[in-house]
Amino acid sequence: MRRVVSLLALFCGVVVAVCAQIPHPQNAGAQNQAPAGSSAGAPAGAEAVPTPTLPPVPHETLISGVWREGKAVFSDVELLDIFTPYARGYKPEQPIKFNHRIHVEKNHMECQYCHSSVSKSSVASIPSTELCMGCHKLVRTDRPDIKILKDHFDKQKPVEWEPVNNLPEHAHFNHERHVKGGVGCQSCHGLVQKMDVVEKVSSLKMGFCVSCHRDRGVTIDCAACHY
Amino acid sequence: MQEKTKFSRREFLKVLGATTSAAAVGCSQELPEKMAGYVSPPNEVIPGIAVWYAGSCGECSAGCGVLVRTREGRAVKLEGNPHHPVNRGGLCALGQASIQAHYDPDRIREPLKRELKASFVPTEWKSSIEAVAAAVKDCPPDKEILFISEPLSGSAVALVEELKKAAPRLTHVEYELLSRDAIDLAATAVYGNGVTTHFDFSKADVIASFGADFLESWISPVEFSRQWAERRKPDSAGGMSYYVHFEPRLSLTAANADRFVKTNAGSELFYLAALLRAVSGMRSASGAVTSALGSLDLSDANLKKLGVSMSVVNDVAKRLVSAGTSLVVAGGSSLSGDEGVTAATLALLINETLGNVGKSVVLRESSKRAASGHAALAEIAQAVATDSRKLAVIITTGANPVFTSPAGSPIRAMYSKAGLVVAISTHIDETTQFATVVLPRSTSFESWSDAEPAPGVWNLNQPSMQPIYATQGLGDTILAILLQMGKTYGTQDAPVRSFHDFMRAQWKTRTGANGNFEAQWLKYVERGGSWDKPVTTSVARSATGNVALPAPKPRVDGELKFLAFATLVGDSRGANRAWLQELPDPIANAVWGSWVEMSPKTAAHYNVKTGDIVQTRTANGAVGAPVIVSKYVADNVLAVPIGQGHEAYGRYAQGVGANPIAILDPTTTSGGLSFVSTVAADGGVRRVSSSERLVQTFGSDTQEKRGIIRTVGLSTLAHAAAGHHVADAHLAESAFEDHGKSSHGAASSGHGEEKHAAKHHDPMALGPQPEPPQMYKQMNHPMYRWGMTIDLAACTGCSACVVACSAENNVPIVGKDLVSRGREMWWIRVERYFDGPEEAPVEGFLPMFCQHCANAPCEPVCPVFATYHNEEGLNTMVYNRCVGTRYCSNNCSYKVRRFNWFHYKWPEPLTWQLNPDVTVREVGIMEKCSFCNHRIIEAKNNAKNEGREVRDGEIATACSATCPTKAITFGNLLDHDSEVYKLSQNARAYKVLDQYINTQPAVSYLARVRNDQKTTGA
Repeated sequence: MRRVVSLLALFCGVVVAVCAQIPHPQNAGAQNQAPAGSSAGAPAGAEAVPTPTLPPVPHETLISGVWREGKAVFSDVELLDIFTPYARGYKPEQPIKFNHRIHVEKNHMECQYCHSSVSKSSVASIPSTELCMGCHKLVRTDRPDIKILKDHFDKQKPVEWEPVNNLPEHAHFNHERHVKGGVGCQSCHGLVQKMDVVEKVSSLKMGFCVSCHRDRGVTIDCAACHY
Repeated sequence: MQEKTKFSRREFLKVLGATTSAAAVGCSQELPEKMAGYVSPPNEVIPGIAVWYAGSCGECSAGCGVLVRTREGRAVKLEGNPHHPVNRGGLCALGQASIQAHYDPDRIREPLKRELKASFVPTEWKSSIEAVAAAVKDCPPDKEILFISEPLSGSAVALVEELKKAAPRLTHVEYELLSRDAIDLAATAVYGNGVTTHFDFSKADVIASFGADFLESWISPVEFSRQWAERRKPDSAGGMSYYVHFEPRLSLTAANADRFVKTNAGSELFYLAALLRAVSGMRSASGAVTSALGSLDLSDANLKKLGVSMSVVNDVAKRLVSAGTSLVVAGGSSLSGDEGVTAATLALLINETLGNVGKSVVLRESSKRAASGHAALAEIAQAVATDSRKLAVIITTGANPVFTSPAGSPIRAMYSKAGLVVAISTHIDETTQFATVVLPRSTSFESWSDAEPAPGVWNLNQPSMQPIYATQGLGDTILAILLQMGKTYGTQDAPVRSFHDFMRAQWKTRTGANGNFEAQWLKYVERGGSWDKPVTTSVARSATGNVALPAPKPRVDGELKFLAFATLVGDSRGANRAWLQELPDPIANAVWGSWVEMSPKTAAHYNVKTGDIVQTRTANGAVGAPVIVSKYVADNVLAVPIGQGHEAYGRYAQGVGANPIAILDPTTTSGGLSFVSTVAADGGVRRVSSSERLVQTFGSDTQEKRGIIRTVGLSTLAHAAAGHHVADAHLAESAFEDHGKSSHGAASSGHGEEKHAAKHHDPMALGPQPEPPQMYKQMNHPMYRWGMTIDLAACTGCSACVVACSAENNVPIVGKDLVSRGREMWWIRVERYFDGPEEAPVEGFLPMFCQHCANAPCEPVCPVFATYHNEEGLNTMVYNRCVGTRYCSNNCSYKVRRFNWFHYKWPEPLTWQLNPDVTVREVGIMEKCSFCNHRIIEAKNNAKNEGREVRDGEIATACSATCPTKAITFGNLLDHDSEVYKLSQNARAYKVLDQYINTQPAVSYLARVRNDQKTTGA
């Protein structure tokens, strides 16, 4: 009997956990309707950075069902994400305190100078240490972080960055397609040129993607991203 | 009851809380890995974009050209090189699986050495090379050096010549189990020295094969499959060929024949001789024929005793003589051992008599540089055993003679008697185990090499990635030994320091390019070699007038023969690849092991049934394997596949199956090893208890008249072309019956009107069908509707698509135990049914995979919409939605969905092969063919960049790209100019089960065609 009851408890526990992860369609819709920046799960830090406001989803789309009927409702809830590097406001410490604001806003560098494959490939690419050293052989060589960089370069050791804008698993994202389609970097990554430390400003969850896709009239076929 | 419940509310809540958090943590995502950029970016690499390198496949001597797809510096997939004259884009299962050998976790990682019987210890390259070079240099005058290699080609030959010059006491032997020595020797016997034969199946109107499994492992299977398939369609240029196959057992190649003649083992030689006599009676025979037939007893009594059917011989002879060009080939067991050369000579003489030489039989100039074959090596080993020759050094590379020679052969003992045993090897196999110095060899993915598969065709293989371990290519190792011996090559300005330099110098000399060689060389590297003339260019030679053949061994009545046969996996070297181990044999459908095929009569005699484990004994030992009772095996034969039974060679090969080569007859005087031995008369087959068992993937040998695989007779098609509506496909029975006779369904009865009336109700009808009324709302396809056609007339069942699909889509391997529970994960299975007539028992082969039905039964039953239909006609799987109810699999009419019962993990570095474009599925997820959706997305992306729609032929799925016969076509069904649409409207097209259950698959199969035309009077 004891075993039966503990099994029951186990089962209930799993059900509760799974249910917690599957948002109720109505709730999910409500989340979708709200501006992305003020989601319940986002910590306070997120408000410091202005995020692009997403257009509200029209009410009639909030009907659960297959997309075959033309509409669907997707989750943008971050119930559990506050514990993980997938949450908005995630701002890890990097091995080198690279400052995007100084490089982009102050020194007017283009995003693509470093993230060179963003318009050619699915990944934006991380700049090579050699590229950094192109300037930093001469520039600011006295700074401690540049010394770390030089040390890596001298030892031919790559810098291991902490990823920030983590896409949920099982989804494929193609930078090239979006950049060529006229979606600016800031639409998802926020105003990186204002960031001293890069942080995640968009949930990058399916609701975030789909609302934009629907708004722009591009594909919302599952197989476009999930394969 | 109440007493027993000692589980308090508090405790319940505690467990509840603990499991909730455990489940929540368990369900949450894994932490992302760190990101590392390049320190200095390589020029060619853009992260996320594949880089392709042209190369050459080194799995057999065929020399197919390949393209290696790499992602961020790692090879992930192989494709055939579409421009290469040998394979033209096709690649076989063995070639596809070579990438698994490259990433095998049990590869040798660094040079090894050992003293006496101790185990291997890691050592340095420098000291190893010094040791080998010293031993080669200081070889005492009374001793010799033996260099055993796979058949070498290209610049490696020139390098070995240099090695011979540097070490005059060195003997080079090229050793290969499935050798072509008999064919070379036969060509020498008939045409004199310096010439050998090759074959062009596309030129032949009639093909007769005596055990030559040219669609599986014989000489150049991809090339031959393509040539053969060119003439297997009713609308082929030059008409459809007729193909008859003679063999003691039904092989994959035999299953593709229009007529399979089950011969007694040992009678093939007499079939060939009787055929030669019959053919030369109808054509003017040369003196060579008379002299060749002199030694053979072709009396009626003897032929009858051997089971040679003269009616078959006469029928085949009539067809051969009346054909414009024909082709007779001999191979497999009939071409092995002492009588192999006799059989090959007879086959060549038949071709010569029929005037096929220069057409379907291609004469090529060849210069035999080294002794080759089992006999040559066994002779040396025998001399070593009797101390008449002494070996200071044995260097072995690319061959595994200890494994591929009988236990009674002196070869094994030879390895214990040499001073220094060097192995230049990728794996610790049975031969490498004997080595005292092991030099790890790079795979073709890591090293430069070249090959000359045909005169004028030069393959150039460049490394497609950095070596995984501290390994070197064969050329570099030999060169390092030579340089260590104090030799220098090249000029003062351009010294040869690597095999790459050596090869370049060779190419420069050969191509005669002057100043502009650099540009030319880059072109060769980019293309994967140079080829200017067709591979089938023949030289003119006339046959010698007198061919004397030795008398064959006397045949003994009532002897049970033991036959070792090669399968798709080739010789032993495919055994260390999990893909090939789990790949079901197309005929036996067995995985992960060996089996013994025997006829029902033999099985009854020994009182055994399918699945029993038996021990088969010959004079040289015994092997144990499970029995498969098959009607398609001659009564005097027990047949065991070659390639399994390894004691070493890595985790996937070790301890799987049994090695039939070990119990073969070791005495061979010419050419290759004999694959036929005699089962001991007393206690030859004995049931034993063993933990081993037979695991087969396929449940049924019959399709219960459901018309899954359909075959039409060529004469029926001709009838249809004449204006009659002959729709029925189920002609397995009717194809060989007279037209007057009524057979199954509407096949051959009735005339026009009746046929049309029956059309709508006939589930066996072929060709485009009218759309039935639809109950479901039909899907709108705005731009694309992806579809596929498979021409079963060209499908040989070679299973290359199955391996290619797994390589592309990260399909896991589950192991023998799980396969036995029906949990294999292949996205494609090749179905075969024994529903054909007696003469051609296999109905055909049908690659079955997700049919992407428009009315898919799987879709409405999914409670979470994980599987749904999209606007491009794909039945897609959203892995992260799937909760694993398996309802879809239960409801799938084609049984093509696969469930991940466990989290299947590859050991490092096999994970490096995983395709980064495709999700690696986890436990609890359903998966199936996606029509290579990632390739569709890539093509659409490219098209969008260029502001156009996807062009026809732009997308090749993994299966269609690798298919050696190009049986698979993929494309957009909405585009009525597309190849796939045209084929789907072919008169032979049908959709599996569609006419019963209206699933509307996107995959059309084109019915297989059997050439059932009768002989006309000759």
